[in-house]
Amino acid sequence: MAGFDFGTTTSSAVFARAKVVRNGITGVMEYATPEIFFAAEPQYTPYLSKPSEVDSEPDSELIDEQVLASYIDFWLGAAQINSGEISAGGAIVTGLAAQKENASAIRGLIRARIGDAVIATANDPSLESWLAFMGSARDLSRELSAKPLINLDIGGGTTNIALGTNGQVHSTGCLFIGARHVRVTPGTYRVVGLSSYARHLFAHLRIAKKEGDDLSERERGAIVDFYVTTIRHAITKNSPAFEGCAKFHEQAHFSFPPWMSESTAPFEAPARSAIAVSGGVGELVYQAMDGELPASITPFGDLGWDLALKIAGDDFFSASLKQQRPKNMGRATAFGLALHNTEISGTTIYLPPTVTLPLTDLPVIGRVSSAVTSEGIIPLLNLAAKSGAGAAIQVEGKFIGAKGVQQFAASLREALHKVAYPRDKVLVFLIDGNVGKAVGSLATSWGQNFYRLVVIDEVSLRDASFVNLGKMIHQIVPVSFYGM
Amino acid sequence: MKSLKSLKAISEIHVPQPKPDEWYRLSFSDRDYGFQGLKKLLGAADISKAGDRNAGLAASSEVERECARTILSGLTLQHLYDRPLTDDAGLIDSVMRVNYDIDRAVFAEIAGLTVGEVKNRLLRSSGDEVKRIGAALTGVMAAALAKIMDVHELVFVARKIEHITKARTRIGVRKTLASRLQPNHPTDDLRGITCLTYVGLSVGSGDALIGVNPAIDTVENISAILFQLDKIRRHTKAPTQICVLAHVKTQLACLERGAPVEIMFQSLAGTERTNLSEFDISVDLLDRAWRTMAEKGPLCGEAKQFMYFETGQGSEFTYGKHNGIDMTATEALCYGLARRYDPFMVNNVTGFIGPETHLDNFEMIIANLQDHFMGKLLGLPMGMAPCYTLHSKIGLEGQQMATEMLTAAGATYYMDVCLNTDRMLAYFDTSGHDNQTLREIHDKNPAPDFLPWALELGIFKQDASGSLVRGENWGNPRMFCESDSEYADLLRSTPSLPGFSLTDHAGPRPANDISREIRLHQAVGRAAIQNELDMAQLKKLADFRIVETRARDKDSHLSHPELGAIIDDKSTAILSPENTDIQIVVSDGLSADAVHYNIDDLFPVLLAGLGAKGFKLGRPIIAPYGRVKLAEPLAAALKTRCIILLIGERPGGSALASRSLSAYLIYHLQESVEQQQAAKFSGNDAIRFEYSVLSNIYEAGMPAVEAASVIVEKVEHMLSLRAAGNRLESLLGQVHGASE
Repeated sequence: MAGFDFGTTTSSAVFARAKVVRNGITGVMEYATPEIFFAAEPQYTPYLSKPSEVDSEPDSELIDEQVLASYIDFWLGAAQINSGEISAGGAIVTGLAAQKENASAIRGLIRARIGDAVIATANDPSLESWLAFMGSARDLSRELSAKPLINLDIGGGTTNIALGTNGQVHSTGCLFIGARHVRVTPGTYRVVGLSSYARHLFAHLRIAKKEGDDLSERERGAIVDFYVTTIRHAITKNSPAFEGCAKFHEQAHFSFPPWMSESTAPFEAPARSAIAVSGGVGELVYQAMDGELPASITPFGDLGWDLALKIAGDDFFSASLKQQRPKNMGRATAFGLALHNTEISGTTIYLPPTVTLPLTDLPVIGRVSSAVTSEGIIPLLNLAAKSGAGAAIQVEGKFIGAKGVQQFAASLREALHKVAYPRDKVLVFLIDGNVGKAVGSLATSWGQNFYRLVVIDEVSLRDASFVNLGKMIHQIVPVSFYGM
Repeated sequence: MKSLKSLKAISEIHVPQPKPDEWYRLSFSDRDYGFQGLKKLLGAADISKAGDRNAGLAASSEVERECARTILSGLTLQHLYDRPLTDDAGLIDSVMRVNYDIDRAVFAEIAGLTVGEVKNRLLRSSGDEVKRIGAALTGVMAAALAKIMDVHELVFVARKIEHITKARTRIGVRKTLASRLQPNHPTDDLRGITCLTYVGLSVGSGDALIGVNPAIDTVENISAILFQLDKIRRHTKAPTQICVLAHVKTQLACLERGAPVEIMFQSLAGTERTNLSEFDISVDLLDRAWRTMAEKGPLCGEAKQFMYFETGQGSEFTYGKHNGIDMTATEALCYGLARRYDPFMVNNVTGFIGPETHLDNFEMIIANLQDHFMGKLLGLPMGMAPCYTLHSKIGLEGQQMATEMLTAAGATYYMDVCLNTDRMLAYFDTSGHDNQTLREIHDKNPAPDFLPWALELGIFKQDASGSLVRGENWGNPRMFCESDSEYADLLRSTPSLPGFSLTDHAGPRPANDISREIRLHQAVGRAAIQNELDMAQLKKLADFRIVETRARDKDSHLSHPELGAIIDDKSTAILSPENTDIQIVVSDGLSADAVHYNIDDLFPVLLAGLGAKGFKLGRPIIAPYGRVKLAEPLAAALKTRCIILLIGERPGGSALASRSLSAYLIYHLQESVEQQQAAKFSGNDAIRFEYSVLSNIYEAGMPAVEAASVIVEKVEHMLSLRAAGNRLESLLGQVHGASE
């Protein structure tokens, strides 16, 4: 299992290994007790021009592909594994790094090094939020049980928001708020670079400073005050929609799940809800609350400490933050990727000999109910038939006994026949019950209809746009989602 | 440390030449009673138990038994010494030979005493004298003594003996009662094992050993469990030792790779044939294991003992390799073998096998008392595990009666199987709650090196009078976890663990709600075994034909497992070669409920799948009271290529799992080429059948409809590749490898 996170400021990697077992209670196959055997020290994310240098157009920087590749090679070497051994996890380019022009090209570079088995994605803010929650706050959320927990993963470029209960994420969002939108000379507040978001904010706050100018205390206060207020606004139920500058900073809108009532949702009342922070700034927040202050101002050449101190001193946040503390906060995304992003199928999937795994970047085109009729499946099959690499469909709802499985399979068989589904196109069904072999066998009349139909069972449903199916290992298939 | 020289070469152990069987006769109350040979006499002198009855060794009446006891009482030890019991070929086997490695100087003193006189002497002697005499006895002599002792005598003599052993820590110290923590998990999930270990330690268990019976006996898996137990031991700082009860060969390989094999385990039987062919061990192998541990064991230099053996009456009978010797005597022969290695601990699991060896509570209790007495007399640190399966007539009450008496007799330790339910082996053993209850009733403490740790953690405390009582952390496994989340994760991976916290105890017992839940589950499991197949339900599914086995009713089915594997003569007469591809057979096995709950979903889909594949099927069969091996004579009589046997599994501690069905897929090796390939693969020249199995077919395991699809696919592979079991998997691996 591996997780690579290339963020705005730093990049990190985590490697773990775990035994695959069948849970003695649920009967579901799962990774048991992952053991982290290598967690790399974060490195500065490499850009073609160094971030500390004065740069009037920082957003136009490119990620230094060559250096980034050398990072990956170094980490793999230090962990003493080869890429073929990685069957779970993936790599993600996050924050402002994901806004760089060559972020997408980076995906190919990563995949070339770590293989097809896992995901490689960029600019996937909801996935980032989900990963950070899982990597840092999942255990804390389980301890809190039904009490809602919001994890704020605050890094160099973005603040990823995820709301969950009992270890499950229900809602995500993302703001372009982070330490590194305003870059300064370390030890001073002399501006050396501004992101487009910071420029917009400076205009909004009427701060007429540019590169080379020193920020006053009032100006710094106004900047971090805007950040903290905007974050607070985002996670408070019934807040009016963002407008103006705040709207400009919103990458993915966060909203409370509709089922969450007034009595549990409002994060004005920490007793009924909880907040945790992670990411580079998140780590500084907890240090600030512990009284661990930096030896000098702006040690990292950004406003990370200023933002952390503002959050730590804010009653709204600190009331909850001092109640509990998550783990892995500094490398939450990498941990989330390595430990939680890949599920494993059951041991009795339906996989005809005509289909070879892995299958990567399959679009998840929709969901059907387990009680669906053929007419309900047909629109999705028509869509799948047009997809270049095939497609995946998730099935929701429990199958009621053998009859339920037979009815679903009959509907699918009829739908495949009616739309004359192309025999050369892969069609994957993802089911959470242990009925994969039965659905596939019955839908293809025991293999007599030669569709490239794959049925993966015992995987939970995810709101994702893409799925990767890894190579089969001892009858199980690693399943990773992205594009959330 | 015992020197390597103390393992005497078995060729140097003198054993007298066997003598022809002689008649032992007694006339009493106008009747003559006779027993041909020592084996028959010993068998008849014992309390009647199912295994001995099934082997034709038990006395037919109480009078006959008392006559045998009277004759046996009058035989001298020298008489027994001069007549070593032989195997079926009339030879002295290695187990018997090792039993003759005795203190010959002491034997010379007592050789002329009769068995009855020795019994009197034991009752009159101090504990040290009993131990001195025990060192001069063979297993057969100890068994003879056990057979003429009543319950008070078995308890009274055993109680005198203190036998202290030490690995990292000591057990067997007088006024202590230790426990072996047995955190077994059905899938060897390290989280579940950790959870159950924490639960056990929190109730003061594990002072003898933390030992896991693994589900999978591979070097990789066993090493992983050993390292996890080592991690737990270091994390909790519990003063104890660890062990994984894998085969001795696997443990040696683990040790070679650096795994912490602190204690070397092996199951023993009392005949060489059973040890060789069923347990795959020999005296040479055990010697090698002992020497390896003495030289390279992790506790080398620290431990005085490092071997651990498990035994129990009836294994030799079950395998049909008892050499005509009764269960008590073969058990005593195990102890004679174990004594050679001066073990750290021995555990007796009489009751584990089932009603074919011990039918009811009384048979199990008396056998346990005999075993405990014999083991201690022969110098062993005896831990006891009076246990049961749901298909016997033994229950929790009988088990508890056994432990009350065994504790009075000075048993060294019991098992701690959390809430009595073994999650891997589907049987019922003593629990940590039982151990603490017995400690409090009998005024016993945990092992002395373990106690200070338990006091420090608040598991125990001393009250105002200085007595040891349960502390504030007794039964609080959460204290070993760093967070609630970690604790919750562990609980989530551990089956049959209804809520476990401080509030769930009632004194040293589980709270009533927990007891009720456990007993309800057991009752449902027993009912599943006792229920009869619902023929009306089955006949709605297909035009079944009935094949009777020699098990005529439920009792004979449960008490004589071999009968369910034989086709009744009437049925044999109507079966003829049909030359089909597949024959489906449905049997209740050990759970008719398993059939009732799954067959409606499974059968139609299975028939449809096999039909779609074009296989030629025989008319399906119902075989009431069947066993798995019934498939072989059926396949032979019908000349079918493959049998699909759908049969109920033995219920464990979960009501839901008592509905669990297995599908045995048996390939009949009819062609000489495939038979030769199978023989080569297995090393068994006589192989005629290969087996694949799909188990856990039930609602919470594999749904019946999914199982049907998996069976269809597996059978298709079997028939195309002409193989089953590991050979089939190997061939499939080659096919998949080639296609990639």
